[in-house]
Parts: sequence; structure tokens; C-alpha cells
Amino acid sequence: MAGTVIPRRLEGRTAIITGAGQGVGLGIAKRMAAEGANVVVAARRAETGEPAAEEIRDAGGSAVCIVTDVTDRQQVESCVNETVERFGGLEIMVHNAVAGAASVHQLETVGLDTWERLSRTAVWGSFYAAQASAPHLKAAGVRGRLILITSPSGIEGSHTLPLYSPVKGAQRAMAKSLAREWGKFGVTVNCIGPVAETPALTKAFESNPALSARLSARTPLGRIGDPESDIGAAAAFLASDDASYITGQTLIVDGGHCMAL
Amino acid sequence: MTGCDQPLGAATVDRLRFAGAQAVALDVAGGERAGDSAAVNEAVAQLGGLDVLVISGWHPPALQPASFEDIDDATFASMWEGGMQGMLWSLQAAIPHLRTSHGAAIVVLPTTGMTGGAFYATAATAFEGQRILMKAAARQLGPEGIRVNAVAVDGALVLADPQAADVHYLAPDVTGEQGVGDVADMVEFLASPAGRHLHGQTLTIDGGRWLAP
Repeated sequence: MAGTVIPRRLEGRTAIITGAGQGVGLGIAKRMAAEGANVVVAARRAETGEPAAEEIRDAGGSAVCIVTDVTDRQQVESCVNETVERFGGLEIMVHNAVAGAASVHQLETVGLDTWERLSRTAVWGSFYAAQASAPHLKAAGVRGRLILITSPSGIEGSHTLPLYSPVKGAQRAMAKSLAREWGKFGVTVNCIGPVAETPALTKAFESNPALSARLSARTPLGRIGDPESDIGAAAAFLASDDASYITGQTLIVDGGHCMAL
Repeated sequence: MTGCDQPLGAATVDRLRFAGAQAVALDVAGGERAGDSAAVNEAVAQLGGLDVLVISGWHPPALQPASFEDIDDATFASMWEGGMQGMLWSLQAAIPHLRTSHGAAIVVLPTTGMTGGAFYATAATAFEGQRILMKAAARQLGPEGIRVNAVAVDGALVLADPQAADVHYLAPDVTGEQGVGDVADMVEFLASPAGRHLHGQTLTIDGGRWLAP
């Protein structure tokens, strides 16, 4: 945001952000880099990941792209190993990757392919990211952070995307459990539930023009979030020392659209 | 009702029968779409219709504590995919029948999905996935007259080592037969006209051990 002074709370720390080639992931990567972190853009496709890392470097940040498919255990482990080798450690793991824009589906007819696409990226991706980063986050102690990007629909349930909401809700339970399990090491584990202007949302608006106005109208703050200045700022806060006493929580960053506990 | 091979499910289905229901124990433990659908349809044929589907039961590894880093892909798959797909495919097969009867679907799960549990991360992940699938189902199926709710039971009633979960409960300990009976009572209530305006809710019956939200 113009005129805002960005603190350098993540100086010298290293963060992996999955799905950082675009959208919310890119916003988080840009903000964490602006706060001083070495950022690994873990993107499935080099076509999006490399330009994202380049954009961050051009802005004066430290970033590399490591092509990573989060549904593949070996690729996630390689990404973590390469990161640690390159930067000397890993303090922050952000699992943000989502399985593209899920199309509207009916519970009565939805098939295994839709389920597997959502489950593999959100839940198996969280499982692999958490397991692969665990020893490094524990070694980082009170600076260790695992952040899972979930969704307000993981709390409320979704009418249009009924299989998207349970995989997002499941991530919250994984985060709460790991917060309990890893608390003794000082590592915090939290979730962010964003609503932000992303390529996926833009696509949804294009196919349903009324959706944008409806979403804004139902949002107390009257606008859709910005991936960098709204969601990225929340992620950087959770990753910083300022949030070292916050764990097992879900920060809903959606302008007040979802106010359920 | 699924999960009747486990103590909670077995006791619940017995109580439902005692209360006058015709109840069939479904075996959908595999989470295999064709098999689960066939099991539901066979039960409906046997009963002559379906008013209530109760989804319960967990893969045995889910009840044992394990360090998150020690969980392998096969174990994660059995707990997460088995639990979620078992619920999804049985619910899917039941929808046409519940639409006809304006019936109810009820999922029974431990509070551990809401509280989280140390050394129970995979189990909690699956339990909460099921609970939010319940909410999504409630949103989509409500307009068709199908009510969908959850009953959350005390994690201590189900987990093999509830102390390991490191959930700091404040209220008195209530475990054992009393809790098991409560599930059947709650299922009966939710399926009855008295529960007709309850939809998409999680009713926690744990003696007040966990008070959020």
C-alpha cells in the first residue's frame, strides 16, 4: 500500500511458499521478501515460478524458484533439502498451493477425480510440507513457523464446492494438532483463511459477473483483499516474532465476510 | 449405520433398535465407491426405505497415538482417504433415498477434529474433514428436505490414549457407557420431528469438557 512503511521482521530467515507462482502465494512471497526473508517460490510450473522469483529479485528481495509439485513427496523433500543447502536453514514453511479453480459440483454425482485433485494438493500437500520441514522448523525453535493457507469455506462449508470445504477444514485440524505436538519446540502452527483477488477468483468473476458485486456487498469492509498488502501482511505477521505466542489459530483475512468461530 | 464393528457404533445401533428403529449395520470401511454404494443400496432394499443414515467408525490406526513425522503414506491414506471417501460414497448413495423420505444424515465423530490433538494429527485431520463435509452437505441438501448434522463425542471416549492428545479439558471426566448411550439418544433426537430445525450443526456431547465455540 502506498506510503506504508514495511517492517523488516523476517531479516535473515528463510521461507518456502508453495503455489507462489501467482495469486495469494505470490503475494505472501513478495511481502515476506520485502520484510527481509530469503524466499523460495515453490511453484509447480517454472513458467509462473521463475518470473515470480525474478519480480521479487527486481524489487530488491532474495528469491529463487524451485519447481515443486506438492502432491509428490520426493519433490517436496527435494525442495526443502535444496532450500536448506542454499540458505543454511528453514524457518518458515507456508503451504498455499491449491488445485486450481475447482468447478461447481454436486455431492450426489461428484467423482473420485475431483476428490483426489482437491485432497492431494490441500491435504497430502500439507502432510508432505509439514513432514519435510519438521526437523528444520524444530531446529529453528522459537523462529519455526508452519502456516497452512485454508479458506473461510473450511469453517462454514461450501454450497457450490462441497468437496473443497472439507479439505480446507481438515488443514485446520492438522494445524491445531501440530501446534499441540510441536509447541514444546517453540514452533508455531497456524492457518490463514483468505479472500483475495487472485487469478482463480478473477476467472470465477468472469464466468459469473454478479459474483464480484455480491461478494463485495456481503463483506463489511466492502472490497476484495489484496494478495500482498492484505494476505501477505497477515502471513508475515504470523511468521514474525510478533506472533510467537499465537499457535493453533486460524486468522480469517476476508474483510469480515465470515465471522463464525 | 456405519462403524458398527466398533464399540461406540455397536452400542448405538443396539440402542436405536431398542428404541424401535429398524437398523442395519453397514460395512463401508474400505472407502471404495462401488462397494460402499452397493452396501447402502442393499441395506435400503432390506429395510424397504431409508430415513436416517448414521456415519460413524474410524480406521483402527486413527485411534492410536503416533508422532506426525513417523506417519507413512499408507497409514495416512487409510485414515484420511478411508475416512473421507467412506463418508462421501455412503452419503452419495443414500441421497436419492433420503430425498424420497425427507430423511436425515448424521455423522458421529470425536471432538478431536475441533480441538486438534498432539500425536493424533492424522485422525484429527480426517475427523474435521468429515465435519466440514457435513456442513457442505447441509448447504447443498437442505433445500431438498434432507437434514444433515454431526454429533461430536468426547475424544477420550474413542482415542486409545487420550492423554497423549494433550488437550486441556477443564470440565469433569465423563467416559464409558453413559457417553455411548448419549450418542443414540442424540441420533434419535436429530432424526425426530423435535430436531427438524437443526441443520448443519455439531452437537457436542462430552459432559462439558470442551466449551468452544
